[in-house]
Amino acid sequence: MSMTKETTVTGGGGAIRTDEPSPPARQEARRLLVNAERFGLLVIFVVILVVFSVVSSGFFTLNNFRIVLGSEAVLGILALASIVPLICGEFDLSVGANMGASAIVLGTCMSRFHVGLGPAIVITLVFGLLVGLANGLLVAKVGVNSFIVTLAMSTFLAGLVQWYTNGTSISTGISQFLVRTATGDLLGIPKGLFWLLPVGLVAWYVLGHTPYGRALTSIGSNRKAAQLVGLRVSRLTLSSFLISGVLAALAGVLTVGQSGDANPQLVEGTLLLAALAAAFLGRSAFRPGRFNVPGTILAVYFVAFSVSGLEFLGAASWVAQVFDGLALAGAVTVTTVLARKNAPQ
Amino acid sequence: MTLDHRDDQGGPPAALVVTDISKTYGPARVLRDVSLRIGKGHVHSLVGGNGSGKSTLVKILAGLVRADPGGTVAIDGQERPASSLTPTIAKASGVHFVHQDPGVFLDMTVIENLSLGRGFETGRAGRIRWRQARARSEEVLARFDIHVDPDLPLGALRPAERTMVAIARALQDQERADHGILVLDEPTASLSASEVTVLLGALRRYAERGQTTLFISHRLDEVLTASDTVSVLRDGCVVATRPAIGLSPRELAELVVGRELAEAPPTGSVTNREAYLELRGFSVGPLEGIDLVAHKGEIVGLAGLLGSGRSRLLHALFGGGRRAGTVLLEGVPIDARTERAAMDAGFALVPEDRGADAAFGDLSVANNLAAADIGRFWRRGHLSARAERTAAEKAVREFNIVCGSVDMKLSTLSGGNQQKVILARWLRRDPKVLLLDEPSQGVDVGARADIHGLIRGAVASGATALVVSSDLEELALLCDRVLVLAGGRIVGEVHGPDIDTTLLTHLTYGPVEAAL
Repeated sequence: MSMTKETTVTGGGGAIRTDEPSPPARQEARRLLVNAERFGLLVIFVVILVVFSVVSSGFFTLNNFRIVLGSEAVLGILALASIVPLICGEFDLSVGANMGASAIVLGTCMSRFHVGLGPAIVITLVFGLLVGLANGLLVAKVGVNSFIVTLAMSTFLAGLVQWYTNGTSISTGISQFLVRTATGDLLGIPKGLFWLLPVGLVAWYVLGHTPYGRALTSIGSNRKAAQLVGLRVSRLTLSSFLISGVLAALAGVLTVGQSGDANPQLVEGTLLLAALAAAFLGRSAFRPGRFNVPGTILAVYFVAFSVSGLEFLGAASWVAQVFDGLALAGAVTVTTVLARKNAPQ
Repeated sequence: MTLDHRDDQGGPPAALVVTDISKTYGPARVLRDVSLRIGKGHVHSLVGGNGSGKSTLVKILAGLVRADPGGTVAIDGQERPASSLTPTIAKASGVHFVHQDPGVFLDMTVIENLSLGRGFETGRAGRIRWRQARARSEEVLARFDIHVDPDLPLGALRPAERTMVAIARALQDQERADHGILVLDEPTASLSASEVTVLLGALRRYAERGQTTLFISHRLDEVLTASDTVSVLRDGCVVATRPAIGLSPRELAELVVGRELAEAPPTGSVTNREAYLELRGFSVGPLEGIDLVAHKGEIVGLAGLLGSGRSRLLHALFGGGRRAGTVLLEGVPIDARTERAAMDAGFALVPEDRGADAAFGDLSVANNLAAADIGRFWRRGHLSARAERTAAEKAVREFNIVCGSVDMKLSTLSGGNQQKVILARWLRRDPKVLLLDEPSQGVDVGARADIHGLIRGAVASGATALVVSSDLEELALLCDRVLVLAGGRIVGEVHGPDIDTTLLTHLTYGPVEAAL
């Protein structure tokens, strides 16, 4: 419906405002509520660990913890890839497919063209960057809806991989050095964490503690206002897709290292929903209402340990998907409800 | 018609009696024991600053917000607990709402708009019976004095008539004119002065037929023109209920603010006559080849109808949109093609639509204040949250912003305080040219005086300001000089001591009135 300018101007009297400082007791109650919100997920996480440790003997073992911590690093990096565009208000639904396609690129480089590990990784990351560039140009410069662009990219990549690999895994010629740096542990710490934590640290710093991160947050909050405070909105939006593309490719490299082969099934994007679930679940922790790095990583392991616990109790592998679906819907619902409560309109 | 509002002295029977309504939101009590009595056939105005609680009261009456237990609402003599109101009950008891955005469909016809309010009469197989719908619409239009072709799309009607159609749509099923209550929530906020006159005239006619109306508005002069009785809400309490006759705009404004208003009129004496900002042959949108000079320390107003190009002019100076011509600042040509370039040259723009174009509602007050120069808080390789907060706290004090803490989300502040935050965001940069588009729109009188003070202060310290406003009184209060835009040109210029609302009205709306 078209509305003329005259009918869309907002008056300031339209909403309930609470400017006066509140009495101390109420402030205390409010602070408690805010803290409950910020640390709720962490508390539930600890409770779940304790409960599963009590009811299942196999769950609370060093070995199981190492496996879960290490193997979920791929998902962790992928989830971080997805939050960069999300922070500036855009979806990247192609991170899963990008990761899968990148794994195939890496596998092909090493197995078919006998490229050394270093150059092969560079080629793979550049591939991820190009995928991000294509997404970003269409979204930021042309103005196509990011949901559609990245969904299309996802399908397109899946088709290409299917054509190129014919559905068979690439398992010969994979660098054993890569496998060694991705599996097992070092000083008792699963090696996957040596991939995830540096990425997380850099992402935490860049997104939370630099003007660049603040600029992305501002765009996500109000694109037009961001433009009118002098931010280069389209360039910044494009950059978020570039970062997301490179990180998705990095997740592809790690997954090849961890499984020892490049599996074309990955391009179907099965990890996409898990990554989005972590991103949205993470938004309810630490900095409620905002996509944030610590929250995202916590959410990845919250889901992983919950699923692991359920599997120890005898649940079949489908439980992971059920859990991811519930976590995504649940997280978005909880954040929506809390946001409404905090800002009575 | 008697203007008396008190129970014990006769007057008309009550159409609506509200008794002891309170509302608490988390820590904040937004309404405290509010009581009102609205006589049948009266236009009763409710005024109050942002955050005074009037919107909450309206929402309680609409059943959208639940009142705290204890209060009662009696509609046409039927009393019920205020906390039991729901939208369905409110509608069934005859309380009808028309909001600021009247919720009409501009690309649909008048008949369709009216029929959507009550459902179409359908024949077999769900076919719409257009002939009945037309007959009914014509009858409704006649009843509400709307003289338009029912087949026209609503967008072809003048703005006041669109609001009247919205009123007719809300009231069309009333059995008698004196049944129920019409609640108008800031219906004039986005109308121009001539449209407001048309709409208020219609409201008076409806009242004479017995229509009870609760009228909510920021514009105090309209309130005094249109209503029989005025109630003033402040900090959630009714502080006064008075007959409109005998109340002056100034008295009313002081009741709203709760203190005496000390807004000094502009001096009009610009000592430095050297051009500071100069536009030569500047064209943008409808404006063609205009010349404009603004001096240091001067506030220049731009008056004109919607579509006269006044907002486009500001945006063009701020790096947006296609334009032609020369811009000189301190004699140096400026060719800012982006917002960033304009900012670097010393321009600042406070846009008209705060919610859509300026506010980061879900970010904190501190983040909003820092938005135009985030880089300033970059300390030794990280963004210093402490430096940002300290600067924000300073700005909050300096700019008289009321907020619990600078960490609060901007959207939790009142409209006036949000506007001060946006203004402070730019004034912190010490701009050379302030471009202000409707700087006090939708802001209560107290905040408006504050905002005007801030603008004057900024200009006095060596800047210049271009102010676009539909509120001619604001232009008269704030500006040293006002330029009138019409037909793509500057058609008039009024200087300091001569700025006078009547003259401006004539200049701005004169040609339009003549054409009608």
